[in-house]
Amino acid sequence: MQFQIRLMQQDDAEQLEKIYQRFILNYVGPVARSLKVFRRIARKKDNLRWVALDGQGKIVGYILSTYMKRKRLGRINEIIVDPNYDFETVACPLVDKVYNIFLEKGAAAVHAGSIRNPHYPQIFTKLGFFDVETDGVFMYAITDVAKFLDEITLIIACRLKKMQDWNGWLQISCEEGSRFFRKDSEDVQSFMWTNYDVDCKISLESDILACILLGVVNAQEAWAEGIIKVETTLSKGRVNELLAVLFPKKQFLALDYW
Amino acid sequence: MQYLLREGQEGKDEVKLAQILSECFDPATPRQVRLWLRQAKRHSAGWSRIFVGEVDGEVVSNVSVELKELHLGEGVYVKTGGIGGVCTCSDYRRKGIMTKLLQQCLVYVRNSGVSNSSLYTGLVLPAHRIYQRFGFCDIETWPMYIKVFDFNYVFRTWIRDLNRHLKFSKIARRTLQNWNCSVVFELGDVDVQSFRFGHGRFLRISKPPKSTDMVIATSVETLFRIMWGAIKFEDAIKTEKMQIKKGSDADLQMLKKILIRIWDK
Repeated sequence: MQFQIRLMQQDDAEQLEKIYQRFILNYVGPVARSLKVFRRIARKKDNLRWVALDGQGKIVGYILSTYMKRKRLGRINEIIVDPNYDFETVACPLVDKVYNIFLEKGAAAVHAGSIRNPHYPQIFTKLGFFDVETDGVFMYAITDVAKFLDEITLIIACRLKKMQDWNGWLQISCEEGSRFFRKDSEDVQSFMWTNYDVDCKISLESDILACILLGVVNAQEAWAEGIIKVETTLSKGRVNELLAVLFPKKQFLALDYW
Repeated sequence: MQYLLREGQEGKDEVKLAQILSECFDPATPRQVRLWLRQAKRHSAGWSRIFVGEVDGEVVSNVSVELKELHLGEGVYVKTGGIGGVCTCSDYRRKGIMTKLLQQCLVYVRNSGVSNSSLYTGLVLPAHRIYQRFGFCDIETWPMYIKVFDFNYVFRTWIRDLNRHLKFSKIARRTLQNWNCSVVFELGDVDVQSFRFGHGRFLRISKPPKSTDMVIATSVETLFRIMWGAIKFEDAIKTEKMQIKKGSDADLQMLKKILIRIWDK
């Protein structure tokens, strides 16, 4: 499929925001951005922000980059593609465009970084970039476990609904906090406390919970290694199934830095 | 040593904050600091804060916190206290000021109803250990993709950046005080690049000197990987990705500090 590439325009902001919202649904870690942010992005007048359009003129992806004249350094900051399209197919012409602009400007070097877009290695190694695993790291801490469990209740409930052929009580216990879920054939309800017998109790430390939710630790492996504890009346296979549904492998991706 | 912690004040602390930030990160001006302060406040509807540590009426330490919302799955966003700008003037490090500041910062985050905190740092920075003590865990490291077209210019920019850094960093100036050395990098296909340090300045030498104190043979990629912390300086030597043709151990240690720009012991 052929995509048309053109410069970003001021009135693209709404479409950019929609693509961004759709794109980040597949990842954990990206920061929420308002329409205002995209208006500010689309307002800038340089030739380093491009959008890819499909046959009907709808935006399907965009690239943001910057050029430091003094350092002659080009930087590709962000590539976002509508998840309905293949990332590389849309991203490659966008990267080519910006890359050629950097060359025209006489760049001495080009950098592209992201924590951690899984498509980047294929795109950039093809263009002859070498990868450097820097010592920069994103760190996360849960400081109020009870409140945090409260905030992720909706995520757990949504995922638990996807667990087929199982109804019962689930407890997630993390340090001083705990949350109960009752799943029946129609719905999942969450409770702060109950003295019902639970079918499955998952106990884990807050740092492990953070790592599992942010996709850097696999819950099933963590259970096998004894990092998380499961007290249950269910079979081992069923617990594995439950863990896979509750904590699916998600890719961590950070696009904003502070 | 007596110190106090307080909230940073616009119109009062910018000059000193710019100095500290310039010493620890990239050069910053008071005007930029003022803009950051305003921007952070605007973005998080007045939630964001800057906390500073003060010794004898002088700001010596800084931590800022901004409200962000992270996507944690299924379209659910969770508020997080984004901590940044963590730095202490090199004269006042290892005195517990930052630990106390960070503690206050996390208390503020918790008291304002935010259940978690996040930040970016470097694995080799001394601050990384402090964050771990506060319960922060490593989530993901940061890969970079680099392509170099004109290494001559990149090297020149690096020397210029080092001199700018020296202008602001007292600890760097102190460390390099009595060091006089010329270094030659033999960079395979690219070229030979050399610099000299003396009289408190880095100077790029267009032609390698006849007698030089250090000669290092490596590749551009390895040099970048060391600078970005991807390979340890010692490991590069052990694995022979970097060969030391000439140079004493003391000079090598200094070169390591220059490359990774971490001057603390």
